[in-house]
Amino acid sequence: MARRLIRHIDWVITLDADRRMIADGAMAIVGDRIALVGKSDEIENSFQADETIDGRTLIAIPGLIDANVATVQQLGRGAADFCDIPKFMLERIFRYEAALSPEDAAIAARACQLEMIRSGTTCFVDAGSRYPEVVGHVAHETGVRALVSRAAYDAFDTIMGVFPQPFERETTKEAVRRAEDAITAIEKLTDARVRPAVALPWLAAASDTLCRELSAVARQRHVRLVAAAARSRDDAVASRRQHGRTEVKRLLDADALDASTIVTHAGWTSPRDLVDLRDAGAHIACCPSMSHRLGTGSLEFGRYPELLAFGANVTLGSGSAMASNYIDVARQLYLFAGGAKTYRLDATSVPPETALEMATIRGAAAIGLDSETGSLEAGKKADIAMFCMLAADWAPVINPVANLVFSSRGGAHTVLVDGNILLADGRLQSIDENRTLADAQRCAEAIMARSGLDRFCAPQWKIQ
Amino acid sequence: MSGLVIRDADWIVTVDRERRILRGGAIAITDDRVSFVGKDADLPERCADMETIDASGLLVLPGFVDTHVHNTQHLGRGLADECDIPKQLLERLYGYESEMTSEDAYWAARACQLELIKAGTTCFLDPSSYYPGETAKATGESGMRGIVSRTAFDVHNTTIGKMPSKTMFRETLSEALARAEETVVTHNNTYDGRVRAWFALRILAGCSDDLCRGIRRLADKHDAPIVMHASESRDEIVGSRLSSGLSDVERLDHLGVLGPDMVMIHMGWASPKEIFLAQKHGFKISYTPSTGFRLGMGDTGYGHFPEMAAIGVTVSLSCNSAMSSNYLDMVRLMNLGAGAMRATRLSAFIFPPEEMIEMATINGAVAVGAENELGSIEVGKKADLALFDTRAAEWRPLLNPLSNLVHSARGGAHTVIVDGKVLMANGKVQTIDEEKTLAECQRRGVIIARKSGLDRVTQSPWPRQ
Repeated sequence: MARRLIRHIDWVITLDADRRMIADGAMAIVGDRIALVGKSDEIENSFQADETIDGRTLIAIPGLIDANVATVQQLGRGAADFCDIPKFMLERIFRYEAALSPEDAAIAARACQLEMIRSGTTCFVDAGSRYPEVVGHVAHETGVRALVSRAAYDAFDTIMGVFPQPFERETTKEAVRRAEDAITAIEKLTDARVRPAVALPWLAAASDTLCRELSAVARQRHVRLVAAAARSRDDAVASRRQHGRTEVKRLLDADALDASTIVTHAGWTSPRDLVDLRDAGAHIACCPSMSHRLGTGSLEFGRYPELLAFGANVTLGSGSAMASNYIDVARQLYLFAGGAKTYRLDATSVPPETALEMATIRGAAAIGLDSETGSLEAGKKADIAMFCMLAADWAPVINPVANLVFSSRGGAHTVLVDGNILLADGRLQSIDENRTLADAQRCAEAIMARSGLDRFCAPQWKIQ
Repeated sequence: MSGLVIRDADWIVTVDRERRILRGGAIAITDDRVSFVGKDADLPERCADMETIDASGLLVLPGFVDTHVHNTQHLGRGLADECDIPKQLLERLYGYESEMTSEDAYWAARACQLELIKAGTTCFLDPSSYYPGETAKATGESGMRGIVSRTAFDVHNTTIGKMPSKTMFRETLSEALARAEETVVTHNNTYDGRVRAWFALRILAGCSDDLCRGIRRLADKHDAPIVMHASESRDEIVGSRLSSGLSDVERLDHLGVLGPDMVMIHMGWASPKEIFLAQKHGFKISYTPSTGFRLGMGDTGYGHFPEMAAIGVTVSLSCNSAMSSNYLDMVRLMNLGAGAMRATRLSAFIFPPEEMIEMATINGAVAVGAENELGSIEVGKKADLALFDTRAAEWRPLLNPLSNLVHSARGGAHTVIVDGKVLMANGKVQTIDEEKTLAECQRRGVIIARKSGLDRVTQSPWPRQ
């Protein structure tokens, strides 16, 4: 097994139980796991390495965990701007997804994972798509840790409007069966990094029966249920109108809210929902940049600091190129901390350390892997993100965590997953970047043309 | 005459009168000015021999005009976090400034401008410090365009607390006025006109009525504008109402000092009357979203910037400082300024990318009184440009370049040009020794933090080993 030493790291932010921050730190890595974490001089003397990496000017944090990414939407960046939620879903997202071929989905997933690796993300929860096997296979190749699932819908004539015609309709039974098939297909990859889940990306398009049956599948197959709920006021109103209840209550009533549920958003919750989420032990993925780009206000109107204070597990997610419009959890740290402060008129409401916990150790807990990843500790997986602090947007560094959250523009220097180096000094190791981005551009233009979404992508200013 | 030509640009976002966007464009620069903008194929013959920048894969924008940058606060990044505004201003910012030397101020300005250039900013308005000379010198050397000003305070026991005891914060009315005037006389129109000097009122809680009127008299005498902070936070507004019965701008109206030659920074807590006064007097607004965001001031939630823009008030965009933002990057600011406002208004339609780009370029130029020279890429205007690489992961696919710039880009320019001179080429700053500047920034920042005692209050609660 490869023995690697990363030494003289300016700061190692461990996120271990004591939350130690080590100046001039080092990590010894054997195979896929961290063997030692501590002061550089102590570890250098006690560890025989095959390869040594110089960590000077770097800050090491646990690899970031992005708790909500719709990877297949990567090719629609900018095609879902300027619309309200019903239009966003029905006219843009589903029209785009209906136009997507499996080959497109693979390119989208690869380009998306490329963007994630560049941001320091080592693990993501896919929001659910029609191509879970493709997304899983791409994650298998790129080396990122992933939770992938098939999106389940069974109600295509929603109170917010009808799904676009090209989007394939399926019955409850079909949706459940395909979700199960996807679990089996992902399990067949036999890659411990890529794990299956089931997903309800839009409750307006899911019957109560589907919620109940999918949740039963999740329990039976020991996988997470990823359900988007209470994302926007429009969604909340639609749920009250159509079902007479909130989306969280619907999940609760369908036996679909427990400690293996990841509820994405949960911003437009009722007071009762907050209690239900906390009591169920459900994990919550707040998506700050979606709130901003879509104007949903889930970040500002959500009660995330309160949920954290009451003992719920709250994590951070990016969204997608169509909804966010970028994939970078480090930038979410900033939005989360700032959003809570500005809306509450209280600069002390969310310290930077809390935000970093959400994107690391809390993210790991959300996917049930907090004994394996989410902190830099001996025995855990070597999932590490390092950022260069010798940069104009970092200096001077007094509290490195504050600079990471409030000052840095993001962009990782070196990223490891399972001890494998995926990004080395800004160079991608497992993805052909030029080719992937060129493929993404070419396929995106073709999708826009054939779906008719190209008319939504033009700037208001005239192009000559 | 020297010439420089930018060729094969994927996109040129001119922000000219017709707001043209050019694909496959070229820009020729003769000396300090733009001499051609158009399709690459139409580039005049005479430009063939000029030094060439290959801009394929790049997007060209007018250089950003940031209407609120405190250069000298740059060594205090992180020293003003996690506290309420009175404390933030009086104990943290002024506490830090009390402990800095003029040499610190010079290196702070240098590090600050390094960050600005890296982000694509070509012009800043510095709304005052005690070291305008050091900022001017650093600007002369960095090649940027900048406006400096000197802090004027004459109230030492303010409605939000006491000023620090250091002599500079304890000036009399006549001292404050004399030094402000000296700054304008000494520094205005220096370094080939790249450096200008204005008058400044910093926070109104520290300014007497006589000081406000005195600064107005001097501004008229020297034909130099006034920059000030106003209606910044709820705490200060409450203080102003307690002491004068009026909020900040209403008080200035009462004193008769308002005019179109003023830039009002913040204004997130502007009353309806104050918004009316902006329209009536034609003063310009500097919207500072990241400050409110980081300090919990609520500008992005409670401010009426979309309304001000809609009624024709000039709204520009600004970063503030490493202590109050805590970053200086107009690309990130465009994203935040639009997004945070959309989220609180529950509307995806507030502040489209086009409007944000205008705020960061042409509106900034209007605010600093230089719309005939800056803020757009047009023949005859100054050659102040920022080029961005669109080949990065977060830029692809590129379907709408303006949406990607505002909604997706991480920030960080590729090449920056001011007055026809290349300040940064392919990510490498040409006019500032980056390594030395960052080392000085770190060394001096740590010393000031220790001297001021602020290192104790701004540490992470997590244990250090």
